[in-house]
Amino acid sequence: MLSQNSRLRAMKALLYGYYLDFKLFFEIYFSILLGLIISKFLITPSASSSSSLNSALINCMIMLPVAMMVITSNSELKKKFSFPVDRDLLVLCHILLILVLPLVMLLMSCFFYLVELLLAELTLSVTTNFFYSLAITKSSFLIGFAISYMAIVCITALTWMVSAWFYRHKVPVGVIGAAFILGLIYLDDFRDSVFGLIGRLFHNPTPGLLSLKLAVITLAAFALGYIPIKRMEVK
Amino acid sequence: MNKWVMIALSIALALSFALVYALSPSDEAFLSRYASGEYITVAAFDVPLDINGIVDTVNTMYPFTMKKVRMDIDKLEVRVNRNISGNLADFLKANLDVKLFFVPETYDRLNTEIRFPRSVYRFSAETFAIVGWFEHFRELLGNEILICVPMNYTFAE
Repeated sequence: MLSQNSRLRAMKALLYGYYLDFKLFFEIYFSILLGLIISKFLITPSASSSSSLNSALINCMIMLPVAMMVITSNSELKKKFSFPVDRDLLVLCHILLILVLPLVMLLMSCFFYLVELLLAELTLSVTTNFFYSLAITKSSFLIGFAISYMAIVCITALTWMVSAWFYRHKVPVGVIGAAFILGLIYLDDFRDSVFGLIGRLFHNPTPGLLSLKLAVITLAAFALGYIPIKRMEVK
Repeated sequence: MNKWVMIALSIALALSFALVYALSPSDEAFLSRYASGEYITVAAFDVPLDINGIVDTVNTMYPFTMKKVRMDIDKLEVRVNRNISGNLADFLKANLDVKLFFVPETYDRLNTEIRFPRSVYRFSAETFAIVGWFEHFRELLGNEILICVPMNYTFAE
């Protein structure tokens, strides 16, 4: 019981540490979305622009993998080890981060979407050559939110897994990764078979089936990413 | 950061989600906004009706979305949805520049050239693009402009 309490406290402290680390991350994300809105409506309006929901999705797909590469590096991991934090606790915290960060980011995009609607109404009242249309329904929003969340979590988990292996076994993972990328670039058959496999996985999906496939890939990535962190040497 | 600030931020984010959901129309309401009766004709052209005509090219209506349809009508028409925020129909009536070019001799093929002489800006408050993977939701994107031709015409593209 005492040990469990101590681990729980350690986990809370670890999560708080990550929260402090990720403050800057969220400030950057907030600034990007805000900057996009300002440029969209105030500075140089483009002829056609998409909503914050889509901008957020692209931002998440770029920013979260980068964040995972950073938090799995040796120096960052070793900073977090202080008794009673162990490898299991650290991996659990990483998994929680992978699950929570995309959710917060997507919720922030909903806030910015509302700001955009407000600005669109304001722009409409002051100009005659601006028009906007709603291309959203209750179901497309809910399904879009859920699938986007699953897809971002899946990509983040995959990056976390690859980074976890890479920092522990740089040479083998580097060689395999480079060979894979070169194969994709130069070998037509290899490229066709890889894209064929991805196409078969995601061909004509239903939202439920796609979520299931993404969830399986995510769980596999969590399990595979756990192995190198569990084996890593901590002085 | 203060605990209460965090709680307030969390509530604001959850409310944002709820508000976006509440402000979004249902599928049925959305589809009814894009029913054929919701489009207004902004340009119409007489075309020969005694031939099986082919419309070779219709240039894009950027920044608007467009759909080409065959209808039981006797003219080539450019129609615009009346539910677009802002008075798009009046704007297009005043500013749209549409020209038809018939291929000489046979006159069964024609090209259309559509331009906006004035700059025009469009914002699409669209849902997550990822729903485009699903056929059902692809129908829920709506088209702002329709290019309508009589039934004896076909689109080459």
